[in-house]
Amino acid sequence: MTSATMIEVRDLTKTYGGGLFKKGYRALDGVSISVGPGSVFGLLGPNGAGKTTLVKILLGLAHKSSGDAQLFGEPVGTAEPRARVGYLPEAHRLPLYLSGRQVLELFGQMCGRDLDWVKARVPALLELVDMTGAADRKVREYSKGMQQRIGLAQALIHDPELVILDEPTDGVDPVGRAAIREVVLDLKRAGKTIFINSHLLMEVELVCDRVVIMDKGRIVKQGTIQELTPRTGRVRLELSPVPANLEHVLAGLGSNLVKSEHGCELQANDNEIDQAVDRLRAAGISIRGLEARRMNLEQAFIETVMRERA
Amino acid sequence: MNSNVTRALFRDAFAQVVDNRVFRILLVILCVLVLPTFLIGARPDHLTVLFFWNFPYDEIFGFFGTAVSTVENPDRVLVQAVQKILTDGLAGSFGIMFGIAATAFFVPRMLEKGAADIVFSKPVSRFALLLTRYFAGLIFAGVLATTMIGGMHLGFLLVSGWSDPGFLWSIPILIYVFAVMHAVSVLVGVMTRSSVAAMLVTLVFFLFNGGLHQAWHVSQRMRGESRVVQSEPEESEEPQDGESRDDDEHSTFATVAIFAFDTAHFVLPKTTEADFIARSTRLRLERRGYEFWDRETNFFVAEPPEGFTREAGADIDGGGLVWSDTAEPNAARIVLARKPVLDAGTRMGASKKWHEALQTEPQVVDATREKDFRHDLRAYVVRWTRQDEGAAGRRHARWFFEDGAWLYTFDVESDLAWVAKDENVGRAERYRHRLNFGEESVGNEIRFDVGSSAGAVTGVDKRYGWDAELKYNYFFSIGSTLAFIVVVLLLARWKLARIDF
Ligand SMILES: Nc1ncnc2c1ncn2[C@@H]1O[C@H](COP(=O)(O)OP(=O)(O)OP(=O)(O)O)[C@@H](O)[C@H]1O
Ligand SMILES: [Mg+2]
Repeated sequence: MTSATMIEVRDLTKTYGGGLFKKGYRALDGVSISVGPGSVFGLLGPNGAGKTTLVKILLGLAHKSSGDAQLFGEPVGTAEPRARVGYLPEAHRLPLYLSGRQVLELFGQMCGRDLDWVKARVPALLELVDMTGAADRKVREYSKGMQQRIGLAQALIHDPELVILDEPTDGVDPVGRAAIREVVLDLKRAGKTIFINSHLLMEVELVCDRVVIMDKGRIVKQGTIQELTPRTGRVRLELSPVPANLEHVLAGLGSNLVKSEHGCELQANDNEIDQAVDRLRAAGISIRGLEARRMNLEQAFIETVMRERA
Repeated sequence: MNSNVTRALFRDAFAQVVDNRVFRILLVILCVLVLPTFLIGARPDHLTVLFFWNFPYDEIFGFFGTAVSTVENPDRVLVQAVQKILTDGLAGSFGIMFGIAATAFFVPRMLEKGAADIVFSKPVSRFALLLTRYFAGLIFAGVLATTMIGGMHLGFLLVSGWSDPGFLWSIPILIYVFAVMHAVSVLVGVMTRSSVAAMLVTLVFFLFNGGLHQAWHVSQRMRGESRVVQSEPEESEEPQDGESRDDDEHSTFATVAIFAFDTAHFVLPKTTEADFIARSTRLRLERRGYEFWDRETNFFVAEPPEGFTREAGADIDGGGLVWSDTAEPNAARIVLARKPVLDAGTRMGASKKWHEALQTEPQVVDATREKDFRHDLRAYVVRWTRQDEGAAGRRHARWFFEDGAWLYTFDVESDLAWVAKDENVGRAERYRHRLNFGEESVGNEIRFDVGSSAGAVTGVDKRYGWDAELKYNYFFSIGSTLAFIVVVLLLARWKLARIDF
């Protein structure tokens, strides 16, 4: 079955601990997002922004206070749609009394799969998260990163259409992080939809198609990575050779020229860049590369959040 | 729910139990308790260790100054004592409490942050997941109870050659009691998400609930017995009938208190009665082979008197149960009969009347009447000799005793010649010895299990039963207990559905 949207959230609010006489804490305040199939979606935000809360509502782990939330076009809170979702919670704890392999078998079956089907799939997943060697040790003997790896594997064991990862690289070493990124890209290639919660912006930047930035329960910005990371106006040129009189060649164009070993960087608008290229070519200098520098996601994120808070 | 899911959940419940350290320790302890039943066999006159070494009872117990050989069937006594202590005593109290302590964390741990997120995000309802933790507790109790009681039974059967299947009933009963306590533990676990709270509250509930029902049973017994005592002071002639005013004298406070007490009894799970059910089921199994057993009053005669044969067709409420000497049917007879106290009078009144009537008969000599309050059974005994013309004299003794609404008479009559015979002297002697009703000796005897005095023997108030009135009814007891479990689990479900993890 293909739904138009995998996740559809409209005007969602969540107030924790509210009661007859208590005001409670508003963790989500009118959030609307929509995630289509086959994309990698990143949800960013500082600590306490409400990212995990949003995911928990989608999975029926928390109850919404108002608004509307749907998974595969069905309202959240019922068990059935969850069979098509794989979830890696943040700071999760696996059953200590099982081995990694048993965890995968248990959760695979809990998602309605045959034990035989699950057993056949387990070795490949263990390989994927590089846990084949420790698969038969008890979870209570695992290190944090090992638990995280099995956690990721259990989210994928039943071959879900939608994978929700909350801080997937938390506690994992750099090699493991790269591996997890690879896993995400593989899933994307296989047509799965991936929803990642993270504040490790590098990760998100490298894999996500669309990003939403949240703070204090509200969405403050959303768009593609491109849209969220505006050009800084600086341009980097790679030149061969780098002329000694570069300042002279480019005199009057742009500002803040900085020379480097292989070229230079300067602040310039589009028109000035065209002229710079013309002059360099006329001076017999080859242009090996030209790049308009963008803000990285981290800078964009910090800027957005600071601006929002100010 | 898909069968894969169900199977997975059960496997998980089992895995959790087996992994539990307390469970494994208890299992080892129980095996240690059970092991001796395989190593040591109790035989009729000796203990046998490892099938090979034999130790006669007299040698073992000699220095205690008791001659064990005078106890009939010491093996049976020994085995029953061990079974009773371990199942009723240890398992029923300490076992349950250990179980509560060891399983209290099942639910709170599942609800911990992080653990809950994974499990409750699966396509399984929250209540189904809660039930698996409930069943994990039952598996815990079931495996341990079966190991201990089943193992002991097997050991006694194989090595001592003694089987008492009634004791196997303790297994479901223990699980039943534990099912109640674990339901409470699950509820508290869901409410507080704390293992310590679940454990403490459940332990307190276990003790409180047990205490309350014990108190209720005692109060019931007292309410019942006070009437009997008041209406019949021993050896005081004037009958009293002041009991009906009693109820009017209760203050409002007492009425409210009694009402609250009764209500608590009706509503709370009746774990104390589980014990009654086990014991009466055990008795029922045991008594099916008895010489005589009246289900309604629980009055029974275990075996016929030695050398006597019961005459067919007799009925305890008609002419009485009649046994006659197997060799000389006319020489000696034993008759057991009963009549309602309302018609026949009390043991005191009836025996007195009988004694007086005998004194007017010229053929009767040596008529005496005395109290026979030895042991549990309170009786009056009238003895006399009848010397009919032309016939040899006949010796009589008649015991009058009561049980509830019934006046029982137990007659022993024999020819003087029969009594005088050598082989019968011992028999008669022994026989008289056996007329110490209620004496806890086992074997070829007439054993009476009568009413409240039966308490000493069976511990079951005979007002309880499968067809008794509501408050003593076992079906009601079990039904209301199961209802309690269901309500408690539904409350847990209600609370669980509202948790934000
Ligand atoms: N169970 C709860 N009860 C009460 N308040 C909660 C609960 N869970 C979260 N909150 C509050 O809701 C807000 C959002 O929390 P949430 O876990 O969604 O943040 P987050 O964006 O995932 O943060 P992080 O990046 O640290 O994981 C926080 O202020 C938190 O204190
Ligand atoms: Mg979070």
